[in-house]
Amino acid sequence: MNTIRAYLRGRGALALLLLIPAALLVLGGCESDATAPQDPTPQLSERDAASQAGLIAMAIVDVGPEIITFSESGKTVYNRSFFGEVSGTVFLDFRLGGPSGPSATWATGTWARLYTGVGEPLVIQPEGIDGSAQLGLDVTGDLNRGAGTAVLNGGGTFSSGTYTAAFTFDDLAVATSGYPDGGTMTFTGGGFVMTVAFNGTSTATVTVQGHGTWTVNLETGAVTPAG
Amino acid sequence: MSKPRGRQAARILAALAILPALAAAPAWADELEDLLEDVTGQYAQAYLAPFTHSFGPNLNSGIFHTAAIPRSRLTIELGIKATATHLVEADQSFQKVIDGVDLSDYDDSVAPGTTGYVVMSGPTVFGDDETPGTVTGYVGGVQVFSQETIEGLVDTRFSPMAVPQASVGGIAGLRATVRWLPELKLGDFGKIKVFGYGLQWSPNIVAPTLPVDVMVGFFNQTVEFGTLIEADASTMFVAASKAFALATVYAGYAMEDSEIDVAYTYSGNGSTVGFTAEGTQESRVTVGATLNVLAKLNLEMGHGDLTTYTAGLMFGF
Repeated sequence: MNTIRAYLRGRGALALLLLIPAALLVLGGCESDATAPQDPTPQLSERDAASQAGLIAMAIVDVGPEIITFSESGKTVYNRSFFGEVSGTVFLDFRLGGPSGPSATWATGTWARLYTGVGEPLVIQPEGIDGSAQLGLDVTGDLNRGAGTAVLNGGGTFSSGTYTAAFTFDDLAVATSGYPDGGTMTFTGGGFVMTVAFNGTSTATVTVQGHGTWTVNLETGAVTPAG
Repeated sequence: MSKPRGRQAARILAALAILPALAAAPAWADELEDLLEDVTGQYAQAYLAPFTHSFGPNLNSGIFHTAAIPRSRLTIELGIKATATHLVEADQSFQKVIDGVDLSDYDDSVAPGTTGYVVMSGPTVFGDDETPGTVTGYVGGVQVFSQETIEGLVDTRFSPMAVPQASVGGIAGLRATVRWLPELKLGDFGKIKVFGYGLQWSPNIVAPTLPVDVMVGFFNQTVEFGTLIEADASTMFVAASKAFALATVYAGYAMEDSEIDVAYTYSGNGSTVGFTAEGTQESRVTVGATLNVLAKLNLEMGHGDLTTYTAGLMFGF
């Protein structure tokens, strides 16, 4: 016992002084609990997600036909600015024969790409709906000048605040006038996957996988439960 | 260096250590008040959460550095305790969601009666001091407004504090401890007040054969920073220590509580914002060591809901 006491009074004290900070460092692994709120972003409802898809459908009705209606002389890379419910700028790249063909003018091109610039999405602000969303778009299509139609494929991204989604078009048939009379858009966002089917009328049908069916008004973007 | 000159140098160092802490506090508090004036009370509560929850544990730290209290030999100590709560990385940012609200209450551009939810997110007071937060309103998954808010005050994972402390003991195994600053008026910011008091008693005077020094005690404190912050903290503790040649090791257990009142004027509508945040930490375990060479330098860690580190420099006999 006397030996232990002597040790503690001598070199032991120094050893303890070294050991204690080491112990503190080890105990430093004891992390504090978090104190700041970390609420999750609210999950979208089926209707909310369908509404987002509806806004994209409304926008493509507005912007998509530009690929076949555009006319402007003297360039091979064109852009068109939109104002109103869908605003922003899209770029058009016309080519002969396909994406690897030579550049062409709008009048001679048989294939075209319509896209938004990096970091410059279209902004959707529909009347009657308080809110806005951003749309990044990149679609291509074969052009039929005689019939005044084009068939679009491609897709893009949708964002509104912290919510983001992706979408793709499959054989979306657009014309110089009227609504797309064929083709679909697949929308993936908010935990839902849905298909928007176009039929040439002012409405399109939104089918949510594993859920219900909705009707989107292509003029306003508003969705309602299907009949 | 002779012993008296060494002690004098140590005293000067202590004075130099306390002055920056006292000078920095009102500057930070002033800057904090300027930031808070740009946000609502709901935002401020979330933004300040790491501060309001660590303020009490910081105050309740470093109150003792030994459990030894002489039965009848006067001891006097004077010095400073510097404490910092180590925050988790998640506490540098926050996200708060308020559902089912009239969005026009948050943004004038929204038509009255528009019901939706608000997402407040961004850096906390100890988060990124260059990137502002946001308040965003949604209706049905579509953003209807977004406002930029405020940056963090200081980008750190340590919530710091420094307070002067003095104690007198050695009468019937009792030791009285105080933390006090004279009421300081600091320009536009207002006044700073610090006052705390407590008492410790050593059962060793009735049980002298105990193998270690043992002590029980309590401490109450009030701190005011102008009209912005008023905080109260109290703790009751039991501690044991063992002295060696140059050092004392100690450990303790404490039960504690705290609350902090925050008040400021929201510049958005000129209204007065006020809220009270209760400290979440109710108990802690403390371990530490005190090196006794010329002065008493102690290092300790307290762990409860939060982990605090304390360094103290005390002079006296």
